[in-house]
Amino acid sequence: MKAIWLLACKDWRLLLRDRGALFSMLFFPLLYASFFGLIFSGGGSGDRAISLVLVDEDSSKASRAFVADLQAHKSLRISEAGLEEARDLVRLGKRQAWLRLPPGYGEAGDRLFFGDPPRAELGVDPSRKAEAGMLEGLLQMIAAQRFNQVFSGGEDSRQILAKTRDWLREDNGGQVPSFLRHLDQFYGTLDSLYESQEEQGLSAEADSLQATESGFGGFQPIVLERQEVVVRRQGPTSSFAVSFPQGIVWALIGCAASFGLSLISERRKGTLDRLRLAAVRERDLLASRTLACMGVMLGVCLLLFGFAVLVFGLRPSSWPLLFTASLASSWCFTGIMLSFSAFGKSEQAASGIGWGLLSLLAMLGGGMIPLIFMPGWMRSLSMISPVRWVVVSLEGALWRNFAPGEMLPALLVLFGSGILFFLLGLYTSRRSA
Amino acid sequence: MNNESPLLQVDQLSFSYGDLRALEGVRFELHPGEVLGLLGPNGAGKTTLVHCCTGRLKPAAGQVRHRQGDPANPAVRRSMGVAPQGGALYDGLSAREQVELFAGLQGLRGREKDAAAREALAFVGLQEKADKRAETLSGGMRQRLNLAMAVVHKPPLLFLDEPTVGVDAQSRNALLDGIEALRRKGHGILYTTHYMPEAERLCDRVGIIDRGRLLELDSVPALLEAHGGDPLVIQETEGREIRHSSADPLLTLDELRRQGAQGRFRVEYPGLEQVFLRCTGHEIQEEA
Repeated sequence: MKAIWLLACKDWRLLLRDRGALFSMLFFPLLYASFFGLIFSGGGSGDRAISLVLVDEDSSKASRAFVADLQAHKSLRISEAGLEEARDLVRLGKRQAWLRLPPGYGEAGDRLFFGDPPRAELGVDPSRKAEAGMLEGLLQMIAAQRFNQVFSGGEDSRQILAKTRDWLREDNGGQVPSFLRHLDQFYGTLDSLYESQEEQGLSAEADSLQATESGFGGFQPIVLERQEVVVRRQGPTSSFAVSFPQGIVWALIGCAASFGLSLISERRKGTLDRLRLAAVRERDLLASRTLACMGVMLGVCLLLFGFAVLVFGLRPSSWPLLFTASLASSWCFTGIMLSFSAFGKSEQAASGIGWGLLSLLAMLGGGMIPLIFMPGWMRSLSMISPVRWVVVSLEGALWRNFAPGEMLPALLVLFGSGILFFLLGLYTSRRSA
Repeated sequence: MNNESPLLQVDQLSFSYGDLRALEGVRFELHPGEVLGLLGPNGAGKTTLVHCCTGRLKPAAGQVRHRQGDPANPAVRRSMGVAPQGGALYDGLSAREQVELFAGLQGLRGREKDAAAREALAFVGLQEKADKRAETLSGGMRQRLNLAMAVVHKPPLLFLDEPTVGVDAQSRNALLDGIEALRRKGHGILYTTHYMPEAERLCDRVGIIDRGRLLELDSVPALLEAHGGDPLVIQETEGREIRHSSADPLLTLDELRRQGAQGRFRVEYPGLEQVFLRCTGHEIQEEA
């Protein structure tokens, strides 16, 4: 046991002094995961909001309320300016759109179901066509929320109703035309309803249950009681939850290649023979190499995930499963390392063949393109690559909310293929020896 | 030759690489306090013989036994030290780390291990370079480190496979001094080389090995007596060399002078080179 530990320490020491190996197994995967994570995240949540410059020329109660609603919406980043300045900001690409609320906007908004609807002008950067559609939808939705206010009762609702009925008469010389009489009666009935609510001390904000019991107001098409339900997420929590499993794949590949090459180098330089002659048993040599390689792989996995948690705020759905997935992945790639070391007699030969095959496995298994972006046929093909199962198991523990039973197939594939690669490497190296 | 039981017994040893017969019927014994040299060109079978003696290769026929038993048994290997050809060092480790690693693998622990490593490094004169990585050491220093790693656990039996290849004269002398010191301490040493002067200086017995066969094995004087031939009186005149073989060179010189021979004269006494030539029929450098 002491010999195994001494030899593993020797391997770790040599590895720490090998800058090339450190780069390929730690810094490159870290850069890879961080870089692609940042690209796919779009640089943070703030940048995803549409920047909109508001030009409020009405300054009415209704326009201010609309502006407040816009400012409260998380998908919009609102600033205010004069019309010329707003146009310039969009033209220069500093904002994505401008919205002008002309004088009379609020008054038009108070005329319920008659007269001209409130009008606003929207200018959108032509290079932002995708955002333009989304923005128009958002503005329609927020404007529609005004109607909820009218039908929610209370002092504000009654004022709007009174103003609307006055305009209805003023616009028609003091008389309500016959075709609008039903609308006028509807407003009157609604106003009476709100008045009787107030007389009974029931404000629009009063408890809905009391309102229902009284038989007035607080109408709801259906009363929904909210229940706590655990919903399975359908997508990753962040782009880093996708990029870091891929980074781990490259780290494992880097570790397997580094250890495999060092094994070939030891064989070629005679240090492996020297260890054998120093009374080290064959099984101890194998165990020490396995311990050193697995230890480094597991350590690199935990380091990279630790970095993702601390720097990018990644939150795995299960730490124990993440550890188990990392362990299984490390075991599988330790087996691959032993096979790798049997690819050739020289470092150059093994490096060429080994890197080629490992890159192919990575490409098929989602180490280059995330599995979720692959077409169906390629996802089916990826089943043959251990890289796929590394990615699936890590993603299962990171954001797919896998239960242990759901994780089991991936873990079995990883442990099983690890054993196969291990035996293959052992057989080949003994044969060549 | 002492009367203690031998540290190493090799009996009718044969080994083949496929169809290539690398060793055939090799037989010898190595005793404590003895340096046994194996002299032969590259490819003669020296390293294969060392591999068979250390248990690295399994003989096709015959037997190799250490005093403690079969060298294929890892426990028996603890009583031997091997300095392989070419060094076999970890370039990324310091001299101290390598020697300590091998001391640890041989079962030494704690202070005992540290002391043994210090002593081994001092023995080969590398205490000043103890913290330098092997990749920064010169060829001579690397060979000395190679020897330190082999002797750190003070094994009674040592295998030194061409330990002076690629080493400058100064380092070579230091190494040979170290090996002589080990012999004085009672270590039995199997030493392979293709440098004649080393074999003549160091070895109590020399084996002439060629094409896998141990052709002769005896002390240097006995080999010279048996195969060296007569000394040569060499006459250098008008850019030519005239060689006169003679059992009594002084008498031959007198006769040549009496006959009025001109030029410069010198006498060459036979060495291992002549022995090798006579035993194998070719010079040692032919295949080197």
